[in-house]
Amino acid sequence: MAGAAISGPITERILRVVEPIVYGRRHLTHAILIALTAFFLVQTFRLEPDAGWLKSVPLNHPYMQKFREYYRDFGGANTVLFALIQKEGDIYNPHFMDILQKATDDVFFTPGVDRARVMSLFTPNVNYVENVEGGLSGATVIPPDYQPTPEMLEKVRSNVAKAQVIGRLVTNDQRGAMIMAELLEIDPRTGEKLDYREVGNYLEQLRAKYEKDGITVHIIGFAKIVDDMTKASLEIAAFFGLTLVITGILLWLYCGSFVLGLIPLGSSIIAVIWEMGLLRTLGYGLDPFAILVPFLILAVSVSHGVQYVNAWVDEIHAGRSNYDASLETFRRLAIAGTIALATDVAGFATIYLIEIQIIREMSINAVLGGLAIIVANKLFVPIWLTMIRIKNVDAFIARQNKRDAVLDKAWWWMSGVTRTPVAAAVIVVCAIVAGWSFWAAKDLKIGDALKGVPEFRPDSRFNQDFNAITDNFQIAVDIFKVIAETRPNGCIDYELMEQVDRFAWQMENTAGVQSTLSLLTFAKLVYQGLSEGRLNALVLPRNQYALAQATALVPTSTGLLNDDCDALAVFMFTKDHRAETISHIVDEVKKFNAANREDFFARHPEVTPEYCDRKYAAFQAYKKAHARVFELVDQSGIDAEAQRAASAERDRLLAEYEAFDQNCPVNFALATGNVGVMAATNEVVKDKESEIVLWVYAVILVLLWLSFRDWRAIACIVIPLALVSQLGYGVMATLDIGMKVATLPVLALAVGIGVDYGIYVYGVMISALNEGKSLRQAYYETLRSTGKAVIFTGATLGASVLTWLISELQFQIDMGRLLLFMFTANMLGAIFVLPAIASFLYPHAPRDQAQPAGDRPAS
Amino acid sequence: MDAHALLFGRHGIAGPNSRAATYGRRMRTALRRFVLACLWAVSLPAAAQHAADIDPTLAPRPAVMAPRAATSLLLDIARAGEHWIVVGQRGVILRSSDGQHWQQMPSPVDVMLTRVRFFDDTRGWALGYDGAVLETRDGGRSWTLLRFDPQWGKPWFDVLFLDAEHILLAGTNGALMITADGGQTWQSIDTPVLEDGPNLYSLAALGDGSLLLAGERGFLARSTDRGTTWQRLRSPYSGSYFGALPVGEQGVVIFGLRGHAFYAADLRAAEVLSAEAAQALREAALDPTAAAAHINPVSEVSGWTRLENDDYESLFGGTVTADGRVLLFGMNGHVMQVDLTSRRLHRLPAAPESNLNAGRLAGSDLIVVGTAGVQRLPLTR
Repeated sequence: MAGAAISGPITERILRVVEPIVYGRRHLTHAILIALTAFFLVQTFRLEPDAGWLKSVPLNHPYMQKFREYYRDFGGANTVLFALIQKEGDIYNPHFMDILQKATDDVFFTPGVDRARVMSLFTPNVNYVENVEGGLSGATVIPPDYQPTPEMLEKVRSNVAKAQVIGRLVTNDQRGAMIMAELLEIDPRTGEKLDYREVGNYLEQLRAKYEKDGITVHIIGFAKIVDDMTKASLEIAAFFGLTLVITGILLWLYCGSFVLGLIPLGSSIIAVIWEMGLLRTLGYGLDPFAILVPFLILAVSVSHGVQYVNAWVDEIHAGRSNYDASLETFRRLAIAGTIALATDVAGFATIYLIEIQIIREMSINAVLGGLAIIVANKLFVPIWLTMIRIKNVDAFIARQNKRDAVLDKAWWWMSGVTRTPVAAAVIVVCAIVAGWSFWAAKDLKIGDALKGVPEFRPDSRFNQDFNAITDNFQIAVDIFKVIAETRPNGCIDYELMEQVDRFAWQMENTAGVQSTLSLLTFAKLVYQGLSEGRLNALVLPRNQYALAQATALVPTSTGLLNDDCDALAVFMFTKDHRAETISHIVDEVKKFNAANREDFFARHPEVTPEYCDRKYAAFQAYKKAHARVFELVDQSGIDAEAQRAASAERDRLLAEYEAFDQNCPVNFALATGNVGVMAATNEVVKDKESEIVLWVYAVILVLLWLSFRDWRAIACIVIPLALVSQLGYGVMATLDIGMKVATLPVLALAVGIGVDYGIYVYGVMISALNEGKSLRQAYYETLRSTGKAVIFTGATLGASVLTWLISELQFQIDMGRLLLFMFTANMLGAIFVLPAIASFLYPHAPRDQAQPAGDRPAS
Repeated sequence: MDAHALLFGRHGIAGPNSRAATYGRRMRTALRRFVLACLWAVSLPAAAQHAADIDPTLAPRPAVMAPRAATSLLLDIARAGEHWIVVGQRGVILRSSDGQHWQQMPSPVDVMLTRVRFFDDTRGWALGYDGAVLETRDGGRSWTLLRFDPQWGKPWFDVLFLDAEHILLAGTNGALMITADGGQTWQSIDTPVLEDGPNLYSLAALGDGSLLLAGERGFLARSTDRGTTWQRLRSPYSGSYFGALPVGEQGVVIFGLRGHAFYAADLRAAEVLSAEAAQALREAALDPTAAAAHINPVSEVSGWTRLENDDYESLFGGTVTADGRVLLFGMNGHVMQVDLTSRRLHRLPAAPESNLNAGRLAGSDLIVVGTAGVQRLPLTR
């Protein structure tokens, strides 16, 4: 079998070392393994959810470095939006106003809420302002003496219009109202890190309380995302139990014996325990990606376990005792199986190349799982098989034979694929499929294209709320932020501000950008307000004092400027977050930045680009020192000496920077905002996509060469695999699954797992060929033993990811769909395409015969 | 860090309207600082400069050709032969033959243009910030820079063609200039009337050829000698006038802040403001207690009739239609028709949800400009 193909002095030597451990002292080995398993089981239960968002972004990408550099300034608070929408009629009725007032009071008591910043019509921080003769006048929208009388409600209606809160605190059609709250990372009551699950549960209670009498409640916000995601992740963990049951039943049916079915299942469970225990032992947590790895481990482990049990049953058929059968199987399969698993592990390891923490952890996790499978399958299973007692062996064999008799006809029919005309037809079909996928893959998108929050499925409650809020309010959720770096107190310098303002206008006129928002948007409104409200005063005043006044009135809490006003955030509200949209905007930003520099230097011949580069470097150094000071202040256990030193260093660098007294062009740095993060992620994914796939294949080629040392083996195994990979792109494009953080590892993992099939099928087939059998006969025998297992495994793997399709999390659904396809297609590739290729590569094999020759060895 | 803070961060939530509300919060502080705001340096326009003399760092930039130009802030509209011409922020100049499809014309400056007026079908001027004055001689297709003064930096608000050669410009802080050679050379009009340097928002030529200048804080002045000398008029309102429209031979409608509007059937009968009365006003303005006591901004002044208005939305622009109707345009989509017999303003149903700065009648439709750009709307619903 496969082992026979991979035999030689090295294999012999390895077996000589390993065999005594597994077989000679098997009870001791078994006891040690059981003890270790118990330890890992304890560790598994200590695993903690770890849904850190930072893990899912490429932190080393330049955009993300900018993002982190300015996180303190522009990172943003985390807002909860709580909308009450009435089915009929406008909000100016006593009932709705009463509900809104009560809900505002309740939102006020949300854990971790910043009470000063809760906003609704009923909070005192919502005012209207009018230009009147000689000045401005304003008051709260809901008068202090509010009573639900018709006259008062009319007054509220008119104030709402004046306060310009329609679209923000009141729906566009005035059928609903919004309560906005901001959460503090550290709960001000307890001084502890905010527990998002507590927030989520509280908000759900409020929803239950107010969603009645024709009023619907819609809640969105980061806290809600975290809470919903954690819940959905745990749900998927529960699906693992369901998957175990399905797999167990399939194994029982396949093996024809409950006890025998338990062996691959039990070893797989042990592999998962080892995997998760190791994960905890190495200090990692369970994130929504990590939760998927056990499914893969289970699937791969079952696949190998089935091969093993399958071979063992064949040995039993051949009349050996269970101990001898196990030993013989071990000799044949241990090395081949380990090599296949090593290939898997190498495939998992290559995705570590993607510099995104969550993928790297998934890679580590999967590698640990791969090693756990080797232990479970190559140590546990052989030992168990020596211990197992099949009660009525003859009856068992009889049952097996009966079933095989039915199946043999099918196997013989299927082995017809090795006949030249059939093989040629298969190859032609493959060529057509390959051609189609090359054509279809052109539409393959990078990133996410779905409306709403990409983490959740489009019809999830969160995205329903999200749509209700974005449809009824003027709230932009796809935000691309560019940081305009000026100089300390740059906000009062018209020359610099004018560049930022011009940038905003240029970007507003870029395809994909719907509108922009910057400090200057507000500054213009302030200037207009101070200029009798005239529309022709919606400009940036050249006058330095006027500009200073207009910009000084905009607080840093808007997130549009930082304390020193040396950096402004320019918000671009994009029409969607598709990769083409984002990359076009990125290009335009870069283009403007370059053109602006050029224009600046042309207007200021006395300033050179070199001067500005040096000045920028000094600026960066100063900023870093500045951030360091804050870092020290934040740290507990204040070290006064270190703080003084850091301040002194900061001041020194500031003085150094200020020695550059000439203005330089504003630097428009990419990028923050959710779309900015997507831009970085997309760039990393796009950049690494082909690299990862090439690495996976390189590793596979090397391992295959080491195993078989025959180019024909490589051709037979790799061509179907490559075909399926290519087809994967076409399928992704067709199913509208984007190339993203969640799907890129799937492509690599699927190749790693897919190669197993090829190795087993080819290994068995070639050893039969080497015995001088005809190709069809060889393949027929392969199908009867390994092929059967491969088909079964493909089905089991598919079944194991089926549960992902009902996840609330969109990326798990996408991964599930893709894996389902890849597993099935790889299985079909190994069963039909591999022998078809072989029929052309082994033309000198003995001629086909019309009937299967011989039967199982001495039944 | 929290991630979706990006999505749902305080900035994240910002919608197109939110700036207005945050602005609202800020304005309380603004209120306190408003007096300060009025003390900004008052400077008069420097002498006309040729583009060549301009500091290279302040050299004009051509306007960006912007796909969103027609939906961005636009301030004025004029008729040039068979075409409409609209101007607005960032040097945007748009041209249309039907008032619906607009094409941006290249403009030599990217400063805000506040006014566009045509002398005839082909020759017109557009003016704005940085003392910019642009001229077209081909009906608005191409524009050249006549004046540009970024050092002064302030805007012109109105232009009046007395004839092909004699043209008046009115602008910020009492800037009033005249040319006698079609814009080649300029002369500042030096009159005691402008001593306080009010912003001059509107210049109107009445049917009889006399001129009315209206502006900041109830500023009204009249000239009967084509702008050479001016006489200040007593104002029925202490707030600002943003526009003046001639009605008949001697009549005029003035309008401005908070929807206030007044009608003088015969401007010759309007009461003149004596130098002493002007001085008294000046002193009262400097005395905060007197200013606070001045609760009602409207007073009875002979020669003027108040036009009643139920709304308090500021009115920024207006037009007199071919059949003599007077239409005014203002905040929050207000389009008001002046009824001179009942002495009232009536709100017309055409109500876009944006702030309007000017408008013109096109058949049975209105073309309005404002914060939402240029829109063509049916006048009646």
